[in-house]
Amino acid sequence: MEVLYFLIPIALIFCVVTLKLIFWAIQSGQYDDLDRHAHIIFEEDQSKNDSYRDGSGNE
Amino acid sequence: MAISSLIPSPSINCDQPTECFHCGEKLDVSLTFQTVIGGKKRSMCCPGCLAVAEMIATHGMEAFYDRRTHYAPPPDLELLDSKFAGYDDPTIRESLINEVFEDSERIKLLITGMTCAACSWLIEKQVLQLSDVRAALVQLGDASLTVDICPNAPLSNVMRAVASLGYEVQPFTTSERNTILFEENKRLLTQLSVAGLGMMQVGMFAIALHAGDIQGMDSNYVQLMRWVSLPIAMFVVSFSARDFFISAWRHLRVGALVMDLPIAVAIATATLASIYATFTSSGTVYFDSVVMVTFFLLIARYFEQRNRFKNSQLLQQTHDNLPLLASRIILDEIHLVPTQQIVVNDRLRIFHGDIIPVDGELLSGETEVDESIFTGESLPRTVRVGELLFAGTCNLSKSVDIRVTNPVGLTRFDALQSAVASAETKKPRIAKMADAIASYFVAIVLLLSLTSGLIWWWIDASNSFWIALSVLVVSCPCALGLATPTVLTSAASRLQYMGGLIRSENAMEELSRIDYAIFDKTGTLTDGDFECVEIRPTSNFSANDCYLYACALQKYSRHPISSAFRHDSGTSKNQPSNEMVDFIGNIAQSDDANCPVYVTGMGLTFKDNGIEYRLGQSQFIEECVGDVTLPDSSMHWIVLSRGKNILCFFGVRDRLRPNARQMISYFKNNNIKTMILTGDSSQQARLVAQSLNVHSAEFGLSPEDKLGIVMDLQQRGHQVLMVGDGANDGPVLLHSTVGVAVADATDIARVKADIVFTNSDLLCIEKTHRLAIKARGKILQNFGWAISYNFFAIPMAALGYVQPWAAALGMSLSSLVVVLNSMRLNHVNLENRDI
Repeated sequence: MEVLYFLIPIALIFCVVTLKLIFWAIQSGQYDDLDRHAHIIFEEDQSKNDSYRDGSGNE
Repeated sequence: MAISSLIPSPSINCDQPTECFHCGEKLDVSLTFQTVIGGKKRSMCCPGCLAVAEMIATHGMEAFYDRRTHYAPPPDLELLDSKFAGYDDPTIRESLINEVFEDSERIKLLITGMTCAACSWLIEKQVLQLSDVRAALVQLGDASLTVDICPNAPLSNVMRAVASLGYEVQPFTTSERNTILFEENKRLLTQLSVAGLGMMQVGMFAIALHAGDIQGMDSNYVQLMRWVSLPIAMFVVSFSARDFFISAWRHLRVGALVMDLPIAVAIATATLASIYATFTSSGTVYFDSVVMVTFFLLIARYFEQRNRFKNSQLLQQTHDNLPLLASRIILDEIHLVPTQQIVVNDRLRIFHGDIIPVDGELLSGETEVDESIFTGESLPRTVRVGELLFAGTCNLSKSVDIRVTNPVGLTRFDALQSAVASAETKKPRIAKMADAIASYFVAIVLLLSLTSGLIWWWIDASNSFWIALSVLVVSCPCALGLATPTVLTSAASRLQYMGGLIRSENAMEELSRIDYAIFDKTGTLTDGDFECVEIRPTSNFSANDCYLYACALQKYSRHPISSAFRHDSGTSKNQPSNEMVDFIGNIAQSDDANCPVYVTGMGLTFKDNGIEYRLGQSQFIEECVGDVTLPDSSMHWIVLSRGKNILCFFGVRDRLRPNARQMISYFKNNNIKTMILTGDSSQQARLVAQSLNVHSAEFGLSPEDKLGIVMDLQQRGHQVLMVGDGANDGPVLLHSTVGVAVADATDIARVKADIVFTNSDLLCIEKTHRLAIKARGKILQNFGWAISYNFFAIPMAALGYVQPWAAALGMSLSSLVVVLNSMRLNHVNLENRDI
């Protein structure tokens, strides 16, 4: 059972990483409009728009 | 903006198209416009649709037609280019910039007319083709387009590009309040996700601990589990549950016991006890319960908040309807200026079809204005020289000049809005039963746990603290606190699927108790359009011929009554006789100089080879043919004359909305009295009341009269549901027990109603009432469960039969039962089972 001392910290690291990702997603506005994004996969040739879409919001 | 239905592939019925390929309007058989898109010939209803469709096709964006789920809005080609030029003015442009980057500036525009996700794709593509635009993003949620545009590049190009697709566009102005709500929403989502993740982590360790309690577990590992749970739970409590503590404290300071107080006390006590247990390696830890409770409470709060945010965006759009620019006339020249700069006595030009920006007096000529936002009636008012025009109303017939009497901020429209705002805060609120019970409950529980702790001190001192805590935890009033909000949240989300938004927390509860249902007529039971129900030809032309001739004439009228003469609304669709084809052809071939002319407030006149045709009110026809005797007074008659002869009488009446009848009979079947209150005093109003067979109806009422009737009913102890639109219903919607605004409701009505529908189906009101009754049932079930749970659990805990871990589990499960029970509301059947 000693392995727990090793596995639990790993679980916690994953947890922290997930939290960071969620924070980033929320802050970059990915949850602001939930209707539109269902259709984004149908859109091609967004080359001009890519910088916008990556979620950073800024060019 | 939920997508409700897919349009059947337009290419299928290509041989015999009945609807415009672009906007979906019914096609006029005699008059279509065709072009080739996607290799097939497509038919359009008007030059506007044709132009837009061709533009889309030539720019390689045909894919729009494959992707769309709703038809595009019919474009208005009369949009004036000059309207946009004003936004290029450096000072105006400056005020619109949201953010400045190295090589671009970010500007947000409001777009109206978007129907589905394909629209947003189309707009983005179109705007990105402009060389000055660096990036463009359309958000359906708030109907906005954000563009990054080169500094000094004209904004009007972007606006024109959007307008050329048939959408209306104007700058997006954000209110302070909206920005705050937006941030609030993000913060809550962050808190919720932290609590959710925390719940999973702590839950994982808790399962190990609970299993250990049963099977036995090495104390090393028990302590390990506790020590990892501790920081996670602490973080969740301090980060996610912060609002409960703040709110509890804020209310406690002014002496109010709110639901947040017991929650805060329970969370705090359980956390502190668990920390104590962890440090001393004794007792039990409750980290899992703490985190779970936080998560469940936050999720209910988040959905409620989300709803409120959506509603506030609806309000936002109200204000955006007023134009930001006006055409000021100085020395016979038109200058576009921001409306803020307009002062009293300025001379303004109001083009036809424009929304009037400020109050003013008509200087010359006469025109008709659509004042439905004030009166709710769809018939326009004729305005003559010297009379007043009001901001927010729409100039229908021709361009006129006005002298400004009230500038921005002092108009009748502003007065109405501020009256609404102040009345809103005064609305009496039903005392919150759950909070009231819970505040007594928490006092009793605190007392009980203290007493049992003291008693056990005498019997067995080593157990007393844990038993006192068991009592406090097992009886956590969360189930009680969740009973109402979770049901209301489920009901709200269910309603949202039907196109409804709840603005007042009490609406659902109140709706379940109504015993009077009152309806406005125009725009609520009828859709504001008219239908031709009877045709009585008085010459040798057939009814069909006369109707088709009237249809051809009405194209030159903007009067709402002309809606009775459309091919799709009529009874006959046969081809006209040969003679009539020629006559109709003469109308189509007439040029600007001799085409049919609309005489304000009267009707249409057309001179064909020296013979005068007239279509309109009987007084108008009398000018030509002498006395006119109408067939009877059962409906409104429109007369068609040729020279000195009357050709035909058309019986016109308000068109009922689909399902109006069914809705009324639903309320009647449920022993709810139905009533119509309308400002309309005409014969047509009585006909509508008669055909719907309501219990009672009152006609020709002013808004004050309506309010008087509703308040009188309320004083006699009735719970009144008011369904209406239009600002004249505003006060009634506000003061009635429950106010419901239906689709096409002028925006001001939305401000005041408890429930707003963006869906035009009247059945929704019936369904909402059913939902409200079910929701009330669910609330009672939840209370029943929470109370009986506590009734059994507290004595058990006080007697020492409940281990603290079981207490925590029991409490979490009891909350879970409440949440799951409430969620069942999303699946109950709301369809009609009475008939």
